[in-house]
Amino acid sequence: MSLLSWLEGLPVSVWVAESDWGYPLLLSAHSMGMAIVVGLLLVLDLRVFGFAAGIPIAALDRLMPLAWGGFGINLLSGSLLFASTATRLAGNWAFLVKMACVVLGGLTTFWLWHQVRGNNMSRAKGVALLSAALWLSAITFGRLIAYVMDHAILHAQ
Amino acid sequence: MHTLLQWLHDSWLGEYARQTFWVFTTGLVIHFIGLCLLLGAMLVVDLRLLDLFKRVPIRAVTALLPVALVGFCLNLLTGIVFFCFDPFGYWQNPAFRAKMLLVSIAGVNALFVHITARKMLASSDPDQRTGALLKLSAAGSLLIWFSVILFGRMIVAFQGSSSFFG
Repeated sequence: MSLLSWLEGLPVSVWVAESDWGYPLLLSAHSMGMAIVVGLLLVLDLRVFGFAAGIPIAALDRLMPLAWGGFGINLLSGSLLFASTATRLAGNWAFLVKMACVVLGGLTTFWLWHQVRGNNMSRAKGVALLSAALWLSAITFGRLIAYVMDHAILHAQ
Repeated sequence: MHTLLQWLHDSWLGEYARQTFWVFTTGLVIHFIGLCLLLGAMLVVDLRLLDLFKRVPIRAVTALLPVALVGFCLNLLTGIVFFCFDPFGYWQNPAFRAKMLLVSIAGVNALFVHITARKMLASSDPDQRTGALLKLSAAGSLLIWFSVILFGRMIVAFQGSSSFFG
């Protein structure tokens, strides 16, 4: 048995897939986590571009644990959602592109803070733009996952 | 009500949304981006009003309100497209109704804050403390917006049903 079908067969995965509330509640949590992470990072990107300049960037640094909290919610809810549909998600190109965007988005956010803390603001603007593009792409491909799945089901019929 | 729903259903927008595959999909992507703009900005503003985001002037964080407004408008416009796609389905969906009620309460709450705390919102003192009523409104705002996400996600789960208890 493959790792993916083993994951899908775990009691918790079966609960997520088959209970009335497991899947929609996890999707809700995933959207809330997204709002926290991407919302705060977009505020940071705008601030790097000089918007809301009255907020010290060092103050936004203090909100990053909250962004990490949102990321944690999504890592957990995302893992459970993945486990419940592992065999269908692993080959879903939208899912794979989303994961690449999340990883690159995370690395770019570290890079952005490196530039901001080093007070290298002209470089930081370029990195902020890249960070925003990657996080918004993650959302876009995340939305497409269901459509790619439906399409695969249609073709199988 | 039925006439209005039928009119929205038959409108060019409804027809266009149903006939063109990418309209709904693209609309949802924009709806999620709008949600991030709205929630991200409100999170910073409300945390400041709760005195949890210290040593920042309230006036400085209220500069983010236009960002929240842009997010809200994106979601209002895309939301209208979704509604015209299937007016009867949305109208009788209990999760949709709850979501719309919460959005209205959030609007009234925001208006209330703007009217009652006008001076406080313009304060440029980084250590300005807020009162209990303003804190209650800020906490309510966050609770409401996150519940809006919850009920928004529940719309699909309640498709075809007309009650939370059925």
